[in-house]
Amino acid sequence: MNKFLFLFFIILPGLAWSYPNYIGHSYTSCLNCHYNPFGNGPVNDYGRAVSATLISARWLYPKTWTEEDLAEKSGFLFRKPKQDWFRTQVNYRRFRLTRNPGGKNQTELWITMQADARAILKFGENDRFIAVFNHGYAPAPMSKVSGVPDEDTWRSREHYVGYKFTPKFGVYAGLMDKVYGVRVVEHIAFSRTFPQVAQNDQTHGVMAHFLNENWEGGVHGFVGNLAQKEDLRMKGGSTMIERTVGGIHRLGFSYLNSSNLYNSLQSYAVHARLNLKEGSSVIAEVGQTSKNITATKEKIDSRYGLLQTYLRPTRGVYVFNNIEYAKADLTDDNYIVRWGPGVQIFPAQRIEFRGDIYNTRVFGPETSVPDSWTLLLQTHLWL
Amino acid sequence: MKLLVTLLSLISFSVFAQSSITVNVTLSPSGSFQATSTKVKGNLKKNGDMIEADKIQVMIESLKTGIELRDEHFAKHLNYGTHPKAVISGLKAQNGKGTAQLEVNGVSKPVSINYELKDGQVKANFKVKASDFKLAKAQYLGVGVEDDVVINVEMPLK
Repeated sequence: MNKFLFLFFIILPGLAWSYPNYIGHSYTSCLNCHYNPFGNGPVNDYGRAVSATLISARWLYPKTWTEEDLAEKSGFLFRKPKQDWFRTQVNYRRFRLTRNPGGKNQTELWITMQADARAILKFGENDRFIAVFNHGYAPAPMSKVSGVPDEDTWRSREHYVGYKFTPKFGVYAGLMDKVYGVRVVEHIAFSRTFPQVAQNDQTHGVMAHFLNENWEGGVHGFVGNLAQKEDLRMKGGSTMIERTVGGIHRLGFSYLNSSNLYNSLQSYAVHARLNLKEGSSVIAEVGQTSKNITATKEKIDSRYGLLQTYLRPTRGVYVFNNIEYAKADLTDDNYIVRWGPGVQIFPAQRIEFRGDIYNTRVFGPETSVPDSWTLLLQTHLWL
Repeated sequence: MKLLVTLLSLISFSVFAQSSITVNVTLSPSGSFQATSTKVKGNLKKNGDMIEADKIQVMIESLKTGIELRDEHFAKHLNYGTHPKAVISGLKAQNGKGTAQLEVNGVSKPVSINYELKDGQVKANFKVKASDFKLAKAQYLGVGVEDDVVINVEMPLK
């Protein structure tokens, strides 16, 4: 059982699309740049302008283009929107996964991770009412579970409506990511897989978000993904609350409780997002999950940790380092440490290149699993 | 509002590297940024127990926020074309508190200052409202700035 879990977790370090490290640019909340106040998904007009004038380099642009020009051309198809109520976006990500690079048993795999078309309707002052639709490709899981039917790889990734009663309080309903922890880029990070808040764990539900000078948080009640068979849907609720510290940092706590016919899951975590300024940051999360299997009455407690450092040597470049810890069963002596550096380059808005190297090691008194090395090279394009 | 930043110069200060003015701006709905300049003109002088300054000023265009486009918006919002400087005048301070007159966007208002003196360096701060200086509410693509602005000033005491 434990060996299976270990292998499962080291199979595929992957990438998602949420950038909480931008707290290093003093953006403590995701709400400034995303329609979803907890990040991920479509980026709003301000976020696109920030992407063009702060995040991305201007290596590919004519020198005659001003920063104002870049901001205006940050819209869909390089255009400044002519109306306020409708936005579209297209995203595409593909990466090459190389296991054991340079070794005798090197394997390579090309994977399309994302091919999304998004549409956003928005009305009222400060986008008071929004409706978000995101339809796209979801790669089939590499580890198929026996008895679970294949899901359609082209499906709604999220669709929800939201209404802001005030600029700092809103309610959202539909298919969304669960409110929990830090939505780090790496969707297979233990901090996302253990509490089941990864790339394909969106759920239908209702979420409330609030924000004030020092606090930000949300409560999410959900009924599972209605595209799944009813007995598989994880129903429950979650919450996440963050406190601003020192004006530029965030400390947070999360709790999640969900269950279906076959198992239940409880998870809680504390996290920190620290602003090192000039675009650099540190992100950390430590959490614990408790899974109860209904049929066997077996209970598995797991623990995970995440530490990420992002350094921004120059505009358009982020150098980062990941250290992850996972103990899939607290009654077992074995645990995993996954470590790896990487670089993320935005030569211009709409283009992201990223390279990661992961070393995964299983520690345990009776374990002799060799280190796993993985090289990931990713291209992300968007319009 | 960003003009307020200029106010910073209030505290007594000079053109040297040890001098800086930082305008702390809160974004709405969330977040913040700082506009900082080290090009502060003026001197803080000691007169008995008092700290005084006739005039401290900073060029609006010298305030940098970390984003070039935001620097431009910041300066334009403070009407730097018409009022290129923020000026603090008539500064008098004693026992950690002081007063001065701050001029931003061509509007002059009195401000109350808190400060501490350590190793010959004065660290001061004061709070102003952008609207007091006839600065319109700033907003860019749905993200605005709060009316309250905190200004930090660091200068050596001559």
